[in-house]
Formats: sequence, structure tokens, C-alpha cells
Amino acid sequence: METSGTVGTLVRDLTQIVGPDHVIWRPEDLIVYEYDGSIDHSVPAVVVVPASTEEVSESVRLANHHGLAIVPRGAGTGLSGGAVPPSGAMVIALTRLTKIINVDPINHVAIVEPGLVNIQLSEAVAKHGLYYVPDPSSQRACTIGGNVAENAGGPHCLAYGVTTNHVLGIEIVLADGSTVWLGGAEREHLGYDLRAAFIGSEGTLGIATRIALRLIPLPESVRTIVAPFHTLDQACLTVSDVIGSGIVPAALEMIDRVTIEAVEPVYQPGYPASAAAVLLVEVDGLIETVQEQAQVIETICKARGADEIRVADDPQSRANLWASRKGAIGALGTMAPNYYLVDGVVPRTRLQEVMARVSEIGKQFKLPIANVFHAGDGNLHPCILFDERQPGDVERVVEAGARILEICVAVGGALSGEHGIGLEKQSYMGLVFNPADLEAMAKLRPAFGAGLTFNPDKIFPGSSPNAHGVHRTSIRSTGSGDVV
Amino acid sequence: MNELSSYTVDGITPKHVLRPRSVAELSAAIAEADNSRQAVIPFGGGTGMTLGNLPRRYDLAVDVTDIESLFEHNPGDLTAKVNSGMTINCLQERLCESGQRLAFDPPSPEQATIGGAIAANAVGPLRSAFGGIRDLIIGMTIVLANGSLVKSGGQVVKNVQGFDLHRLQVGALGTLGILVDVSFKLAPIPAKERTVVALFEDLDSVFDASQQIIGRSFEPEGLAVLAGESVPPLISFMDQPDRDAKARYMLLVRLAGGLASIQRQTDLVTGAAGATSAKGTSVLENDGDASRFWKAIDNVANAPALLRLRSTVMPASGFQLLADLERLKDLTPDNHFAAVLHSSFGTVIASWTNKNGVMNSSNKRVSKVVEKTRSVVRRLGASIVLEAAQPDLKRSLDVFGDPGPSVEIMRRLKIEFDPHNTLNPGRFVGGI
Repeated sequence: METSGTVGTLVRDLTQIVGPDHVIWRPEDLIVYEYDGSIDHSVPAVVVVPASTEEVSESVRLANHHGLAIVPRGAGTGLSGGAVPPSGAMVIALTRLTKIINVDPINHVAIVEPGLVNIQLSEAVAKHGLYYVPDPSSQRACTIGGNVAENAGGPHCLAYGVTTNHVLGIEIVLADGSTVWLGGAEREHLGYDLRAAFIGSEGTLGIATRIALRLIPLPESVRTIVAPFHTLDQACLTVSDVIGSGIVPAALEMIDRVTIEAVEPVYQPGYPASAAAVLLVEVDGLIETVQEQAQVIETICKARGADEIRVADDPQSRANLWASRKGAIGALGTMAPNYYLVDGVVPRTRLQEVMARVSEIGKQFKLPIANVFHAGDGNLHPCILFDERQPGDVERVVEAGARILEICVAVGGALSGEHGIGLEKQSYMGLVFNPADLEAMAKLRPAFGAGLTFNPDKIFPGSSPNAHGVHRTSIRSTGSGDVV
Repeated sequence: MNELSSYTVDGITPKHVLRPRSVAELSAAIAEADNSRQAVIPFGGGTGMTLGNLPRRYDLAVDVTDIESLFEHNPGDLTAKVNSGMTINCLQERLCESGQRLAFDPPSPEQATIGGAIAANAVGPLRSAFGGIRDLIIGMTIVLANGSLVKSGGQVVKNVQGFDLHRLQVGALGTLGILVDVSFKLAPIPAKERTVVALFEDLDSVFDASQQIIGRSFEPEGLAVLAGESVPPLISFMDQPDRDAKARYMLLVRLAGGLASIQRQTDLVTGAAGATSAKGTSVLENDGDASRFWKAIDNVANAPALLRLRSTVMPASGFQLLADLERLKDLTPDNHFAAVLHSSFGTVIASWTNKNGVMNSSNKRVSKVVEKTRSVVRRLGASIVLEAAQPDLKRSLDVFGDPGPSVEIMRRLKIEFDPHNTLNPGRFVGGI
């Protein structure tokens, strides 16, 4: 337990590193850092916002000196509790490290600081005819460092891969405050693929302070096809048909009727009100490639009963469509004060069956469920709507979420497609992994010299007293406005 | 003895060989070896055994190719799970039946196994469009040194559940564990494929052509530059080649897509070649004619060599590296030199082979070549790997360059996963 004298010393020492404006210690200021995309209440001992790798390093050393756990934090948009601090920890916020250090347009590489907001990278390199592919729906807020920690995805990862397929190297600060590069700016490196081990490690092995990223050329042509379906079944079968035809679209998203009703007044995307589900299918590349693929896709959609297909191929109308997809969760705020966004993955061929079971779960637990998700890679996002003030709602949401995850695992899927395990799902890791698997994974901590310094209460079952299943971590107020 | 000799590595023959028939047998064999402190070298197809430092200890060879076959293919999901001992060709043949493939074309696919190709981080031209094998793996089961079976990842193309132990095995030479099965994301076999071959006199022109192609919004399936003595015999297979003896470099581009798209891509590539003074261009449909060109790429990496180097630098710097290596092409009075540059990746593979089968060469001469190469690459800021070298040379050199300070993390990883140093001890980076 920290006495006020020790906290005083801590604050004084941190102030020497970053200056008084960048140490947060007053209770009324600390509240902001209690939570991330979840609302677990756990007050950190202190928050420090360094301006450089050296300051991060010194802050880590100081935390060691005081015996504090460390939680690295980006924008705090994470949904699995990754940035929620265990009681009495030091939060190191990377939000002042926002620079693009270097862009190499010949070799298609950018080196950036971890606090850079995802979309700002693509915006900055567009003038070179390049962009950064992984595009989480929260990309206007989330940071590259957070993307690395969670191996973030996004709609365009279907064809192009997720964060780990685009990171070339990472400079990290280790638990002892030393700095080391994993990988580099080249496409591959000698020795074990340590950058792969770090990506998706949810802030448990070190703090990223520089990231080398691979950029790809902007496509010459992009077309988004909007196909409404009379039944959810037909939409699900269309997903399999498209993949089965030999096309891997740039993006393939599904929106169900509940979501369509919510987004129409907010974004006016013009989806037919009678549609049970809408597929957004995007293809990109050379003009001829886009034409060839779009033709095949439209034929498939029509064969499955989509009769009001629309196409968007100018930047403005495409932007509107994507805004309605990426802003969908926020738009659901009109329907209920709270939501829980489930993140699970199933094989594409089981989509129809799983969606039917998700719908049954909604009926069984008397909870409306909106579905807006990355159908193309089987990454579901059933969004359970409720009101936490209603007695019994929260308990039913917890159970419903757990049932859905169990189904995902039972059909050969995964516990998380993008949000990570964090606090939210650590108690479910046993559904997928046995003790030997978990023991092997845990070896990464001593290998990185990390011990239990960083995020000690994350990922592994039983490591957090706060992880009471999904309830504590992923229930959100729809009024808070963040895009997910 | 005859059987044992086929498991010789760098002139060193093991005392025993085991060929387990099941995963359980494999697990027990490794646990037993670990318990009795034996040094184990895992074997797949044996195509990558020249890679790695000289074995200091070698008690037991463990060959995984007799383990029962596993083939779970979900065509609708574009995923498959296969046993590590399956050859690349065998896998591709089975996937082909559903019009699918693993987008991975390493050399010697008829012999190389999935596990071995991953452990050696083998590379082929398809990496241009699809990333290395690292980007195609979605899950794995491995046997640790103590015999326990561990899995990571999953069987769906997207997952963040726990740490990525599977990618850690890529290029690891089995030093953290022996691969048992691997799950992959697959790709459809394209409707149509075509190869464009362009001949050049100088590397600057090849660089310009390559940059023009890479900058476009399509990724060719394969993009490679062939140099050295592999080039002249291929010239006669081009249509109307310029028989100018000074044409030294061949740019190979493989294209895929539907009819209109592939025509457009062809026009873009031939246009780039024309704009950069190519001395001849041929457009080849993939069956038959094109395969001999791509085979020449394979041959750089799989011919028995006096010396073979591999290095990955920044893509644009690959051309400079190729030029520097060409200057070192004379190792012996009559060696054959060939090199390939995977230009969108920046990987150069260069090999020196002996024309008349005599494998001796003055070590001093070879060391000098290696030293010059290392300093060249140091200047470019990267490291080289000796993928093949005579045992005498290996005695005096680390075949891997300096991996930098992260080697400390690598050493601790090894201690965690293989505390008794059972798996391929001493053969990896940093002497791990």
C-alpha cells in the first residue's frame, strides 16, 4: 500500500522526468484514466505522459523502483479492458508521441510513434500514392501503438491481412527500462520473429515507442457494392458463395435489420427498410480487375435474391457508406442506453448456422441483438442492447455473451477476432487452450524480462480479481459517442 | 549405417535415427531424448539441412515424415490444417482439386515438407503478392523439448487469442519446438496466369522497370530478377531475343487475374520494360514455356553449392547488393555464379557452385568472399546468412550475421522453451 509520502515521492520523481504538466495524480484527474472502452473502476496510482522514448524508459525505471505495475495506454478505445489499470498501477500514456518520424515512399515504409492516430497515417502518406491498410472502425481515435498491442483488424483486413502482416519492426522499452528494436524497417530479419511475438501481446511484454510499418499503393479503382437481402440466411450464404467463387474482396461486411433501422436516420445511407440484412462488398485494384470482380459478385448476389443492388464508386458516396458502417455502433445509442459488443470469429461456412443461434439467444434472453460485422472473415460483432438500470439486464447480458462465445469456439472459431482477451475474456481462455498451451505462452514474459511488470492482470485466466467474465469490462454506455 | 548416413549434417552423422509413426511417438521420443540430454536434429524432406551452424553435438535424428498424414481442408473457408511432414507438392495437389492453393512456392517442393520449409523460412516468388509463409500461417501445434504438445492460434483467418507462438517458429530451425501440424489461410488458384520476361544490360534499368511495376495498384504474383550464369541459357527461349552477349539480367514477372485484367497488367509490364531500355521482352502463358524460367529461380536456391548466401535489405537497396555480390563472383577458377533478387521484398540469394562437381575450394578464398560480402551488407545495414557452406568454413564462422541486441531476448526464449538445449543446439542465430 502506498502511503501519501511515497506517492508524493513518486509524483516528485516523475515530475523531474516529464515536467509538472504531464504527471496526473489528483483524484479528480485520475478518474479519466480509470477505464478504456470498458468501465471497470480501478484507479491507477498515477499517470505519466512522456514525450520521448527516453522519458518512457525513465518512467519504467521509476515504476520498478517503487514496485508498481505498469499499464501502457494509447487512446483508451480498447474493448477488452487492456488499458484498465490494476489497482495502484502506473499508467504510461503514449499520447504525446504522435509524430510520423519518416516516410520512405520508394521502399513503402513509414516509421511512426505509438500515439499516432491510425487514420492520420493514411492521410499523411496519401500524397505519395500510398496508404496503411489495417483500418479498425475506431481509426479516427485509436492509436498505432494500441493497434500493435491488440493485433487490430478492420474491414479491409480481409484481403490484405491484419496488423501483424503490416508491421516490420518495433522499438520497445522493456521492463528494466532498456530499449531494443524487434525486427526493423526491412521486410524480414535474422533470428526469431520477435515482432510477431510482441504484436497482439496486449501490452504485457513491453511498451512500443517506435513502429516501422509497411505501406501499400492506393488502388487505381475502388467499388463498393451494396446488396440487400430478404433473409439473413441468404446474406450468409452469399458470403460463402463469394469466397467460393475465387474472389477475396477488399472488404465484406454485413449489417442486419436492427442496425439498418438505427443508422438510417443518422447517416441516411439509403438501405431498403425491408431488408433483413445488407452486404457491403468492396473490391479494389486495377479498373479491369474491379470490373471483373464486381460483375461476378453482383451475379452471385442476384442469384441469392438481392434485387436492389447499388454501387458506389466515387469517393464521396463510398465515404458515406463506410461512415454508416463504422458509425453503426454509436448510432445504436438511439435504441438503448447500454450495449455489449461481442467479438468472436467463426468459419465463414458456419455463419448461417451461428447467426441463427445468435438470434435464438437474443429471443431466449429477451435482449435485442444488432449485428454489424466483418462477415468476410467470419468475425462476428453481435451487439447486445440493454439498460443497466433494469434489474436483471446485466446478468442476462453476461450470460448471453458467454453463450455466444461458447458457440464460436464450438464450431471451430476463435474467442476474439480483434478486441483481444484483456480482462474481458481471460476466464474463457480455457475453452480453447489447455494448461500446457497457456504455460507455453506464459514463457514469453520471462523471455522479454517482463515478469509481471506490464499489465500483470491481463490475458491469462485468474490473473485479475476484476475479471468476472464479460460483465465488468465490456458494458458500455451508448451515449459516450466513441466509434467502435 | 546406410540409413544413418542419409541423416548426415555438415559431415556429422548421428548415432541414432527415429522415425515415429504418430504424434504420440514423436512426443515420447523427444521427451526421452530431452531426459537423457541428447542433441536432436529434426528432419523433414532434408532440403534445408545446409542451413545453420555446424552441429557441435548430434546424437539423434528425428524424421517426422512417417507420421500419419493429416489433411483437413475447408474449401468454403479457404483454410486447411496439415501435418508438418507433408511435402509442399502433395499439399498443393490436394488443394488443387478444389481450385485452391497455398500461396507459397519454395524451391524443391516435391521434397521439401511444410514443417521444414517453415523452419527454414524458405522463400519463393509468390511472396511478392502474398507475403512470406509467415503471413499465411493461422495456427500450429508443436512439440516442445520436454515432449509436451502445445498449440497456438486457431483455424480461422482472424484471431487474437493469446500470444503468437506460431509465427515464432518461422525460420527458427526447430530450436523452440518441432512442428507437428500447421493451419493455413489459402488462396484461390487464379483464373489465368501469365509470365512476362524482360532482358536488360544494366541493373539501373532493371531497378527502374521494377519500381514502375511495384508502384502500380496491382501486385504481380511474382517479381524477381535473375543474374549470373543462369541467364544466357534462357535467352534462347525468349521470342526474338536480342542475342547481344551483354544482356545480363532477366526480370521475371508473373501476373494473375481475369482476361481483361491480365491484359492490362501485361501492357503495364511490357510498357515499363520498353520505357527502361529492355533488350527483349517475351510474354509467356504459364504452362510449359514459363516454367523453365521460374525453375531457374528455384535452382539458385537448391543446387548443391560451395557457398550460398541470403540477405534481406531494404527493397530498393537489393539492386546495389546484387551488384556488389556480382563483383565477388569468382571464387574458384571455374565456379558457376547465379543470383536472384526478389525485388519487392529486398531478398537476394546468391550461389556459387562448382561446374565439374569438385567441391573443394581454398577456404581462404571463400572466407574472403564471405568477409567482403559481410562488409557490403553491413554498409547497407543488414545481415547475411550463409545458407550453404563447406563444413570447414562453418568451423571458423558463424553462418548468421549479428542479429543485434534483441538476441538477448532470443537467448532467453530458447532457455524457456528448451532449457536442456536438446533441439538443434548451437545451430541458430547467436549460437543458440
